[in-house]
Amino acid sequence: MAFMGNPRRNLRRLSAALAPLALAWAGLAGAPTAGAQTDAAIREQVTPKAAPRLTKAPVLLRFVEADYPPVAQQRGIAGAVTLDVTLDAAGLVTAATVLSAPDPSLGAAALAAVRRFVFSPAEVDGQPAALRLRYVYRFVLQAPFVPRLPAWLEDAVTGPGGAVAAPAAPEVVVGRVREQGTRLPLADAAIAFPDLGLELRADAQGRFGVPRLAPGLYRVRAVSPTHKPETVEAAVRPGEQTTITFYLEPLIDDPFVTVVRGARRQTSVSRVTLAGRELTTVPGTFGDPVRVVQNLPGLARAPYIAGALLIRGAAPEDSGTYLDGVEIPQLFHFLGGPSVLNPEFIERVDYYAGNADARYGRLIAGAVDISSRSTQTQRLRGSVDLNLLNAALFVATPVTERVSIAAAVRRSYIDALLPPILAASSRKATTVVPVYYDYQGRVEVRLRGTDRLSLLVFGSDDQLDIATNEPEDDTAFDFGAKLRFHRLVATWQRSFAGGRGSARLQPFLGVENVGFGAGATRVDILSLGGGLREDAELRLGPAALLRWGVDVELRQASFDAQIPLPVPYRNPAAPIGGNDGGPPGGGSGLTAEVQPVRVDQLLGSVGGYLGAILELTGRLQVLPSVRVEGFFYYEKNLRLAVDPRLTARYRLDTATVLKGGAGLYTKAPEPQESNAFTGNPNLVLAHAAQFSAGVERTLFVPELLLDAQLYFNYRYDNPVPTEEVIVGAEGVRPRRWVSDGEGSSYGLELLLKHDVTRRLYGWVAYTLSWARQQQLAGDPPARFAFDQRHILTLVGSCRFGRGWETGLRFRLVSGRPRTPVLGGLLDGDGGFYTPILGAEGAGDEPLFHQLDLRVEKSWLFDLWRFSVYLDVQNVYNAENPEATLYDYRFRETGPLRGLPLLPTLGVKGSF
Amino acid sequence: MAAGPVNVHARGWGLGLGVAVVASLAACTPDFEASWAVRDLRLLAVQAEPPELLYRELPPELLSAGEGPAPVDPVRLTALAADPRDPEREVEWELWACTPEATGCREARRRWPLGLDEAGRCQPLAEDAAAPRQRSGLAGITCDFVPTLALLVASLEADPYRGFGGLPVVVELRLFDGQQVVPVFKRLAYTVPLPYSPIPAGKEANRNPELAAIEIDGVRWTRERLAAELPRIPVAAKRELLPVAADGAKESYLVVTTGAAGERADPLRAPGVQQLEEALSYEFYVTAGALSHGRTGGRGSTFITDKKVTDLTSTWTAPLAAPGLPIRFWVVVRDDRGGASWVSFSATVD
Repeated sequence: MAFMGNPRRNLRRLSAALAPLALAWAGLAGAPTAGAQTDAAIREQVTPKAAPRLTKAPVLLRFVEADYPPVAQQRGIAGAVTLDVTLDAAGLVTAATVLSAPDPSLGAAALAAVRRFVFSPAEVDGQPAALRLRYVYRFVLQAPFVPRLPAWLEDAVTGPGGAVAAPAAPEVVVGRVREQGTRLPLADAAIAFPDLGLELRADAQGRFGVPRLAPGLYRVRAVSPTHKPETVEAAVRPGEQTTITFYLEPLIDDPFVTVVRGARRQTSVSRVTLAGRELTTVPGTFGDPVRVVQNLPGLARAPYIAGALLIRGAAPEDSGTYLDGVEIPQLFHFLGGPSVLNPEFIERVDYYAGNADARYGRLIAGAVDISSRSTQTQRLRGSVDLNLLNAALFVATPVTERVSIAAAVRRSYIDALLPPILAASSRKATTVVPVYYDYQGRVEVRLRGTDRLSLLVFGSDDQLDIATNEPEDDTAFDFGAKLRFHRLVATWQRSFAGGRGSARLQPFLGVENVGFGAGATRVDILSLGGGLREDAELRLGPAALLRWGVDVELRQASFDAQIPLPVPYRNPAAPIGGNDGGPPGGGSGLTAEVQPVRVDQLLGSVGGYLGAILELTGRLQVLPSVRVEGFFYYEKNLRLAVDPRLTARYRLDTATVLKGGAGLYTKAPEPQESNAFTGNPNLVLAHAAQFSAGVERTLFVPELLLDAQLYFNYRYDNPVPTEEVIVGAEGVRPRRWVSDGEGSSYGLELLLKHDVTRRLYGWVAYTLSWARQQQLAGDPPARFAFDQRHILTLVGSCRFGRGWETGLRFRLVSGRPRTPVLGGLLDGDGGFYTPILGAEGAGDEPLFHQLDLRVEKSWLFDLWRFSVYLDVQNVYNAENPEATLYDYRFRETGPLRGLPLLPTLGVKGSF
Repeated sequence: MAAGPVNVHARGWGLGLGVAVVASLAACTPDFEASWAVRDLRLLAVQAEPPELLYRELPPELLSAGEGPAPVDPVRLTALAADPRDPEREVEWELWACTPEATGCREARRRWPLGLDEAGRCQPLAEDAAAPRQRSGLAGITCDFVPTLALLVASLEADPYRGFGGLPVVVELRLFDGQQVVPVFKRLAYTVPLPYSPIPAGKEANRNPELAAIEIDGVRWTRERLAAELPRIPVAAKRELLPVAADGAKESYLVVTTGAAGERADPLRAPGVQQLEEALSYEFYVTAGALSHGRTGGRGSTFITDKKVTDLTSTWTAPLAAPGLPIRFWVVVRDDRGGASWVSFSATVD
């Protein structure tokens, strides 16, 4: 970066261009004659000398500005110089002498100037005549113009490619080049003054300056390789500093700051990472990054707009979801709402379909790890996002050079929109009122080197009320549910061992409250807890990296309820599903009244892991690890698990990697499965063994990757309901749950993915899968409820310039398993029909196919950006029945229609 | 409307709840015929008289391995069948008895076809025998059932509760209407003392509840009056039907609660005896017109407030045109432990 000229302090001289005039000549008595004067003129009348009559006074035709002597300027010497001037008959000065001067230098300067004066000829008695007159030349010092040169401009030196044109007068032009919409400074932008042949470059902050420029009108042009050039006309005026700010329009509008730090090390078998535009612009995902994961291989399609993650044939609670490695208690808001994290806080999402490494525990299926975005920023920025469901606000600002803060909040307003919509429909009796909000806040401190310290607070509050209260309706259904949590996570990221090691320490606190109520029944579960995570790695040598960590999560759960309790009697002739609701052969009845129940227990786990990344040859990378964890769960169970895991990657050539992995995974039973009231306290830990093998290959261009995997998961010791009753001398007791559950899933996953570039991104995901799980103890494993044989998803998005972006998503998915219903069987004790079932899972629901489109138009302004987006799900309104409905005796059928055409409109402003 | 057998993993209840909520709120569901409308051959109820056999002392060899009929009293089984297309028609039917671990006899581990002798007794035949088809009018589907020793022993072994609180035996009746099979199953209760299942002092066997009358718009129509005369109702008129249970129909009864057996003590459970009260429920069926409710009474739920638990009426709207034939009504009363009876009557519309 170079600047023109040598900037130095200069006192500017104002000319004493106060034009003189004045003459009077001797001989005339009376008032002196005043000649023509300039605005700033100071005139002195000089008394004429002799008798001849001055009939025409001389007029100064040419004034010459005297050079203000620098020494006198610096010393602040000013004043009047009186001179004796002799003019010839032509008006030319033939002689001049200094009569008096405040300083000899001023006298000399005035003398030199006066000698070059030209007057009009004087006339005495009507004839041109020579004349002597006295002239006063005044030197005046004014307050010098001090341009506000910034420090960087004063200190800069002339660099290559820069040359300052020799200005006649020193004026200053300073300026800045920024990107339109984001206000990001454009480093190294080129600035040219074509009229002067002058070129210079902006510095890292986008600043430029020209310290010496003559007054006038100049064209100034700013050029950047990724932006449209712009030319302005700048007026440089005397005594003024001129400031120019350029806002250059990017050639391709990319609101996502993609910071490429180098390729991320891929050390897993099944990890897929989503980042950038992929997170928020996939059609049908409501701009929610976590929902985008549902479009990757290995995930079954959840019904309607449910956000559940069904990974490789497992129920949602078998997979783990994390934010920066800390488990999130709840991922989605109620009734198909967005995930609980504002997309502005999300940097990327890592999805592990299986074989997650030892950092991840308390799961037996897959993992989704959300990495929060660093909120370090050099400028104030933010966004407001409004759509039909909710409004979101995000702000980030630097506090000091090292400290930044960011905050986001989101609130739904569907509780205001839905009731009138339902009131207008045929279902007058039902009101559904989901209300949710979520918030995130973060303080980030940049420490020495790459060390970071941050404090993240986030939380979510969901409330759902469903009420039926039409007077004509007989049933009044009053159900309310709430789910809220708050988390505080501190993160200290540091390097050690001279940079060979890095560690991240995360203590956290949390509170969680789950509750529901229906009629007189009420359940409230409050959990207070905290934990600690430490993840560290140390490079032992060029071929070995050691990794270890601690993962502790403990919470004190208080279960407080008013519930009808099972009365442990058995009615042999009780109907199915009546007040007993028990299995065939009759079950226990429920008490008519609700009873208070209170249970307090410490739940959680204490775990640690150790592993390594070994480069055994130039091509083979092996990652052995082991995770050891102790689990606390209902009722006062404490059990230990040791889970070894191994991943290997072999680079076949520069474009191809073979990979494989195997490992054991463990989780504790869910509270409702192991507590004494509804479950079996003797349940042991649930396990899974996961195996996968595959290949990755870069095709044609570096951004295009093909990933193919085969996988096999075997789940054992899983909780499964049982009809078994323990019969003993003291009586009988239903066992309810046992740890004998088995299940397995296997299949093929293909992913062809084009990474995010300025113009486009997209992928094709295909899954071929089988999944079976035991539904009842003693029964053979049956098809998993979401065992969809083929799942094909196409996602693509393209930017066309001028702020337009369009995207599509197409899904073609096999139907869920359906057990054929052969007819209805009347329960003669209850008066209801039960279905006569064919072979379990012998058929499938109809094929699902749906096309979703998204269109977004953005407008860039200098200081902000505005965009409007329209997301349309099920563009051609395919029926896609989600289930089959039957009449009372299972003879007539009808479809339960899937999601109809669903448009969502939203606007977003960001600065 | 019934949702089909959603094969949801028991642990994915959260997802199922979401689906159920959305399904229940979906406005686009088919319009199925109501269960109270009798348009073709229907089985509406089966009565076992008595619904429960109670023996304070275990009859000798009752639960011993052996052949032949069990030393217990017969239970009269009577089916309530109707076909408005041809009320006087004859129909073929067969009976089965089976172990109680499944729903009905089709999926039971062991099942026996029942044979009917001339005295009207039905007894299990050999397990691998073909089920004999019977033929009778709709009002003649009845027999006196006596189980065999083998059936009782097999039922005891298959029952998850091992006879605790009473041993259930399942019988299934199948009517044949051309290619259509119309099945119903019923549980019979045999309460006998067992080491882990004593019979509380004062416990009595269950009895079938009885209906004393039907009130039509507040006017009492007893069984006898309904048998003797037909209510006359104008076209499109509305009539409020209220079932009136006979005195003593709603019984209090004693049950033995389970104890704290097993590896962990249940803090709420203590072995003992508890007194419970029956909740009677009523079902309405009709061959023409429309009913506001097909079912009233019952126990209700702590989750849903249902007015029809206490308001037992159902409003019938007569058809817009006189059908020419009398309209048939049936009202069935059930207790919640296998007892049932009914009243049937006709009305004319003009």
